Amino acid sequence: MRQTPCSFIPPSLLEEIARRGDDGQRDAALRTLAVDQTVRTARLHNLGVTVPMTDALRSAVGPKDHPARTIRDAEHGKRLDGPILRQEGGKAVGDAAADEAYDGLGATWDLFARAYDRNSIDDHGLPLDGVVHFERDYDNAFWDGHRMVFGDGDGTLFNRFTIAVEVVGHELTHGVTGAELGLNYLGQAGALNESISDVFGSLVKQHLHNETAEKADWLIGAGLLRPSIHGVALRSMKAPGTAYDDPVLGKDPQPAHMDDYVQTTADNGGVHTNSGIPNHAFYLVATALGGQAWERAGQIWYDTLHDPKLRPGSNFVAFARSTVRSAVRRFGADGEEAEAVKAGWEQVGVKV
Amino acid sequence: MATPHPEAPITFERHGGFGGVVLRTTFTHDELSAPEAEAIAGVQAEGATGHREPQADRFEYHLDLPDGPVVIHEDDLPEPLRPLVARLLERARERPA
Repeated sequence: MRQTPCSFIPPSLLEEIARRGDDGQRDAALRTLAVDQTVRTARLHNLGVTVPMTDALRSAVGPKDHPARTIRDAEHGKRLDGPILRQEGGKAVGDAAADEAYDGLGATWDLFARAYDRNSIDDHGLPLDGVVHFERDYDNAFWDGHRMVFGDGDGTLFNRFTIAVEVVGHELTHGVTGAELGLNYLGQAGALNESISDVFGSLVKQHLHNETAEKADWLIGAGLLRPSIHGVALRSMKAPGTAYDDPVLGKDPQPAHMDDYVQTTADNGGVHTNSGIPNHAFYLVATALGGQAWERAGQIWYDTLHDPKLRPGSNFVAFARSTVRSAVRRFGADGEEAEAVKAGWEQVGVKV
Repeated sequence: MATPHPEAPITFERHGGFGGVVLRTTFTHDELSAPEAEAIAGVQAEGATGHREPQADRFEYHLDLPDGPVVIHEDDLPEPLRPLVARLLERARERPA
């Protein structure tokens, strides 16, 4: 389904290759920089210029055949430089959190590398570091800009946060979004930021299990809730607002349509709530196209991360229109892909 | 900090995190230890809370204090308040407001 493989190479990396590469690499980098005289002052990928990833450049970017994972132990404190539990290529250590984190980082790296030819989170081969057993009763996981941090859950509401591979995919995708779009974490831009993480988090799981869009559960955080909690996950892309309904957690507040958009100042303007709308749009697109969602729907969303017209404060309409442009660019204006994307957004009340 | 009625309920909420789930409970001023009361007064007096650049999936703690609401990012939580927050979270998990 993919077109000719190409990569977006930021000028900073090209300049680095030009400085440090061998003669062949330097020549290739300088030739590429010459494509556009403006690249000395602008980021190439923000200008939307694609350049072929030549062998000379590829060899200078870093290994692309495997991730470089390190899992550390916070020992139930806040330290991020604790003892190493497992490193790339090492055998399972019998610590469920450490082994699940290792596998989840690998599954995420796999999706981005195999499906989108992306070399890790920053596309420059960033090592994937994870820290497990963070604090006590810590029911969360987050990407701190450099590494993944996982809590063990509180044992009352939440299990350990490594238990669901889509959680790992979600958090690492915040790193990808930060590297490409830099979306604000506020209001509609923040909800898009959250949704993009849910989209690729779900795709990590589907890719790992080789599932079709029809067979996928489209749940985010499946297995995270303790047995006493009335719920199946934290979010449902298939049916936003139905993931849980519990006396302690309350009811899943996600809307699936703009008519039910939640105006709030809490949670940075409801970033985890209103993400249900673009989440559902992606689900509708993926299931309309059928098959493996990472191939066409996922490719369109991934291409959109590189749209120079998007800004940190872009809203749902701007993002939706960008996905349509991405679909047209990659699959053609008359293809079923562009039609499916338009229909998906229209069904959630976002005009394209 | 205005002198609160010792038994007037103060709402505590935790927002954000991966799940975006709100945990909520209440406490009263007379539940606070002296260092905790002092730390809360200090946080409110400094007025330096809630201005941090939002970070994906991190927690924020909201306190509805007599002098007005206070928002504290988890990384900014003063050390003396950590035991209080741990107690309130445990209470919210068992007996939500």
